[in-house]
Amino acid sequence: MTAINTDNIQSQMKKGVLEFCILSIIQRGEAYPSDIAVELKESGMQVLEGTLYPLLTRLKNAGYLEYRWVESTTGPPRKYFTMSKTGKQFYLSLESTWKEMASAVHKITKH
Amino acid sequence: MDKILQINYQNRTLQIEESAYQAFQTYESELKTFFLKEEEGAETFADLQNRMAEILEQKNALSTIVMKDIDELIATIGRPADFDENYTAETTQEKKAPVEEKRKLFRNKKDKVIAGVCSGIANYFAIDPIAVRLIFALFSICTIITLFEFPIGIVAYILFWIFLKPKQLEINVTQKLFRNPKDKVLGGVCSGLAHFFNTETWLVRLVV
Repeated sequence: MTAINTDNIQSQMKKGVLEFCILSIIQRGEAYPSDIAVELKESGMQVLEGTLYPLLTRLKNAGYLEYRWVESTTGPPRKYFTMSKTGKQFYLSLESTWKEMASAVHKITKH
Repeated sequence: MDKILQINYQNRTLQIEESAYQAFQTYESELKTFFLKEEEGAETFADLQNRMAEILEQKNALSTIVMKDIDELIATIGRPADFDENYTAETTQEKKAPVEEKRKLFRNKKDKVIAGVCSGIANYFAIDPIAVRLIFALFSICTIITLFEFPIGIVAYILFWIFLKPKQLEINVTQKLFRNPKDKVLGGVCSGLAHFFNTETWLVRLVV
């Protein structure tokens, strides 16, 4: 009999939602990774930049995000991410899944 | 206060205390080892090096970089042990995987004698196109023999030709149809057919 790994359950839950949140932010407009991390943190979702950067790269490689380089006088050039058309479709499907799920969970748990 | 070094990191010039620099180098190679495990990791690692250079430059704007700054940098980016391990390469690839197309019936552009009809049908059922061609041929012979009174074969073929869309199909054969030269009475036809239909040879000979 295997013990339930609670860390795993929490990170599984977070995993599904994190991509949705990241795409939500990018959907509003061009975004810089560290700014995304700050916004997530301010909203109560902590994510290490070391988790965020590879996730953004994977979303980009999957075709959901695009990026451009922006030069800066005060630092190294920055990658700014935007959402592609397929990214938008993916985001919308995540959004409807989230809404359904959140509504269902809310109904079930409020009693 | 220990020795202050002037270093060049990612094309940025920085002033940093020696002990802080050593700590930074150790951390950087931790990240490198972690990310370079995967192919995609090289790009991520490069992005993080760039980001770290940005952080260091910001810290340096105020004063020489010290150990505390490196600790804060590590806290922002995180240690590999703390990264969400769930974000493996498979995660996003799973989502990219296309939905299985419903098995459709096409004419086969790739393998055709006349219009690829038999090949397409054969592909759909995962059998040797030869088998399908034979059937059509037999029906066509019926057509001719009955002087076009029962033109099943040819009409059917023309209908398929019209209604099936052409498509490049890969060879999809699990059941091949051959004459069996090893076990033959005349030309090994019954034996080959028996193998194709997975029945006994004598049964086929009986039918024929």
